[in-house]
Amino acid sequence: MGIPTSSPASSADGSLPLLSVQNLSVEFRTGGEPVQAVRDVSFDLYAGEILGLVGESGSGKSVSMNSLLRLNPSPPANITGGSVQFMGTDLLSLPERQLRRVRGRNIAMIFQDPTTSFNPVQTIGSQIFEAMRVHDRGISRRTARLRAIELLDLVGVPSPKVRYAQYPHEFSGGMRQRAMIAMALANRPKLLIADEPTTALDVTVQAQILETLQEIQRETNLSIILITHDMGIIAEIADRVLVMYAGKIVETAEVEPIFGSPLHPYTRGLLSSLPRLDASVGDLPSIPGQPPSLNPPPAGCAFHPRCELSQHRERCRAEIPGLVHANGSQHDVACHFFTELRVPAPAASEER
Amino acid sequence: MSTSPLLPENIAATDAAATVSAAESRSAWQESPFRISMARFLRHRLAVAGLLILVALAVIAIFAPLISPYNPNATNLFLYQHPPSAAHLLGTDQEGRDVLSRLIYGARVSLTVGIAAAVSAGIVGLVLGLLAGFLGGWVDSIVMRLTEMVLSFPALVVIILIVAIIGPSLTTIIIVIALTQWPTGCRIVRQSTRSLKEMDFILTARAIGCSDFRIMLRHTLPSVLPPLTVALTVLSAEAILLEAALSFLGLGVNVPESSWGGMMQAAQSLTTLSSQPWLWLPPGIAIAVAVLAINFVGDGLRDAIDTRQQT
Amino acid sequence: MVAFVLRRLAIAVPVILGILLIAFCFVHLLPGSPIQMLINPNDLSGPDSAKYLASLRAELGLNKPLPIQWLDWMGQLLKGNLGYSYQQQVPVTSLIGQRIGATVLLSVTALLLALAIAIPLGVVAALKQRSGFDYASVGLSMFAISIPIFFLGLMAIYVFSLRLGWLPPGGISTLGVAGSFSDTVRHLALPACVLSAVLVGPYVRYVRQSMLEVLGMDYIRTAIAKGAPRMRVVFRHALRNALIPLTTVLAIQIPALLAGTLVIETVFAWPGLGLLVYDAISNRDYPIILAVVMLSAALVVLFNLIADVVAAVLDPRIRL
Repeated sequence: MGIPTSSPASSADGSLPLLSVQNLSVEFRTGGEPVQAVRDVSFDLYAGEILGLVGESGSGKSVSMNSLLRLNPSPPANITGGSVQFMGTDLLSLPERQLRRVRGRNIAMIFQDPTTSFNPVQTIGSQIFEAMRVHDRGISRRTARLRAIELLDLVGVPSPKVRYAQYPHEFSGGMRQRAMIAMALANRPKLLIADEPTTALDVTVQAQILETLQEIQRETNLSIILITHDMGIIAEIADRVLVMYAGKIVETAEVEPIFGSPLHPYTRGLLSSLPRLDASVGDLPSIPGQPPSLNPPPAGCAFHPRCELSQHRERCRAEIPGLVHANGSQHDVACHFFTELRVPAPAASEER
Repeated sequence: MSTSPLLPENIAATDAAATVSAAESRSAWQESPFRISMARFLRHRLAVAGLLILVALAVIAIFAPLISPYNPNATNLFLYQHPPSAAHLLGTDQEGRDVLSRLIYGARVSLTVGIAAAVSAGIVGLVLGLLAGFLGGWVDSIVMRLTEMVLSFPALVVIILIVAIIGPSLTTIIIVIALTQWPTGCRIVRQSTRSLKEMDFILTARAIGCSDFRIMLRHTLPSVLPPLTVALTVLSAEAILLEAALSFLGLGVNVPESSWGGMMQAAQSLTTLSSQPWLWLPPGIAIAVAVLAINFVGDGLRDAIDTRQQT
Repeated sequence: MVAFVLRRLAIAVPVILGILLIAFCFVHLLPGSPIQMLINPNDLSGPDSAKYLASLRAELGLNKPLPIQWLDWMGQLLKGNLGYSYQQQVPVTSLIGQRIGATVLLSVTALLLALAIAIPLGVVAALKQRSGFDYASVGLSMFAISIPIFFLGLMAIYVFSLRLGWLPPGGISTLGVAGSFSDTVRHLALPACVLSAVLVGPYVRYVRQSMLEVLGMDYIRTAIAKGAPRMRVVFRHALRNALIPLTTVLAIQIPALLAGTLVIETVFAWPGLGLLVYDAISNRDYPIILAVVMLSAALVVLFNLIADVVAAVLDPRIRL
């Protein structure tokens, strides 16, 4: 049976998590009923691991990660509860001035569209310089420039000395994203949050960016939270995976069990709707229905109207399933009836 | 079994489907972009207030003979520059004419010039803007250079110059104001057309064989009208202010019923300015109120159509 | 960059030619012959005047085809001959020279005042969107663009000069104190403030709008995520980027500034080019009017050019 998770689990080697998010809730007020975009989200992140955060648009993945650094614009968005423990401090209760020292220094973030994420009228170099300058007023231009060029080289930007003095529009999409990564790494952060870093790029460039991230991670033991809607990317580089649906985490496991034996009906639906190269499929299955609206959020399990397992049982309709331990301590799932799953998931194929 | 809609067994089904879609179209009209924009506009309190003020002004202008207490041109030297009193609510001017009556009739001139000039400028701007935006190339270059040239001249000065040559009649002033204002409308229409030109529905129209002219008329024009309407409000406001300045300087309409600006000419003298505020305050306020109302309406329109374009 | 400037200059040339063409049409349409406009009337009296007139006619070519006349006329312009005032019988250039200082003083002061008010107002309004301050600023700018400038001027004189007696009602100097700095300032205060109202309205709206757009941009979020302090984000990223389109707006508003200057100079009896034109209108002194009109048009084209170049300097994307 499942053991409810209430205290932070420890990683395989027993060390404490780098980041521990407990019961994070965020709502959006745009006149009328507020939207509960993030509902009671808890998870841990350990040093050196790549945590993948998967979910569709509207699942709350970006909002929740933006909340770690309180980057959501505050009139519409409102953090209504929870704590974010990072290196011994709760980021949510830090005064703005001290939180600023965390941003870009201990925790860095890169965003989806590198084209609009850079200031178009300043050179790439000066923006990387700024990343260093705001945390170290005394840094000399020369030192910063050298380091920036070093970083650009590290992320694979060719001719870094020339590129330093160029403007964002003179870079290609992939190079811009690399420059973003360089800028994020400028102050040697412990954690990098990457919000859909490859969504706006070509597939071939995607692969290169992911490779770069992996290399950097290996060299510096950086922890990465990678937000994406693409299971392929998860399979490629994630160590552990969180699956989000309608503002809640519905399943978390290491990457192999997620693909090998997914326990939540939503995860199973996601995986079975992926087209496969090694088998022909008649009709591509898709999960029927739509995600629920979150203002107000549904009373019970948010997924139950679309769930084959649920069959509209009363418990699913009335009671929100909490995250419980399943196969071993590393696989948690939020479903009342996951034990009834007998049929192996379609993604549990011969390839693993 | 064939699904051709012409086979008898399928016609009944088609009929049924048609009835359903007719009902759907009726409810679709409820949600048409026009209705959505209207609803948005009505939510704008200031814009609605502005509209009401304009309607009131129009009513005053149209029914001036019925509302006005006196004949605005009736001079009576015995009533020379009387301050406001029960008989003359806004006093009398240097020739004994009732200020209130002149104010009411003044609405006619100011509003007529404003609207007529704006509409003329709008039409010219629409035609040139559509052509320039749609045809591009050398047509566009010529129209753009033309607009730059016209915009380089300060409107007021050019109007003064032309009126000085030709003489100030109502029509002349309307035409000349329109001549200096059309580039504003043209620019907006051209901008709109250029962005529309690239949209898929235009390309589709081309692909099915519509002629350029037809595309301009049936597909581009309706989408260009909303921003043009907003531009019209700006143009009217500008036209009213120009006419007022012109008349104030003594170069405007010379018909017996002077416009609001003309009523303020007397204030050029410091004594009048100081001791007969009832002569120049009411017309000044009237102009400000009218233009303010137009600007509110324009803002409301801008918001109403803007959001729609985002969907 | 040089290529950009040259390209921009190339565009300005046809516009200037167009302006000159329009002006030339005016020369022929205005009452009085074109010759009359250009000739120094003092040369016309005396025994040889008829022969002189004939030779000038030939030189300035009224018998030549119109395009050639146009070129000749432009040649005269380049030589600095803007015509002679009908009424005062002196070269227009000298009249302009006398008066231009006052106009420049007035318009530049008004412009700087407008910017000094509009930029902070617009920025703060954008930062505090939907606050009372924001609504007040928007309301103020709406009011400023709706009120006729001469009316504002009249009210200003009425309140501050005639009723309160703080400032003089017009003119540039008080008799006997000519040239004193404080006296000039006292005379400049009202007209400059009223004239700046012409510009403040549109400027506040543009600054606010531009700032709002920029604040919604992704790179602002990036700057915050980097840990930049709020002030730095507002000034180095938001404001700096928001002001770029303002250069174009400034240039577009120049004609409005010039027209407003004319009205204000008339209302306040300020002895600048505007008042010169107004008097010239009353006296049917067309050479003066025409010359000033051309001058303003040329200024507008020049300012547009400068604005475009400045925008290209500030925004590297434009240079492409």
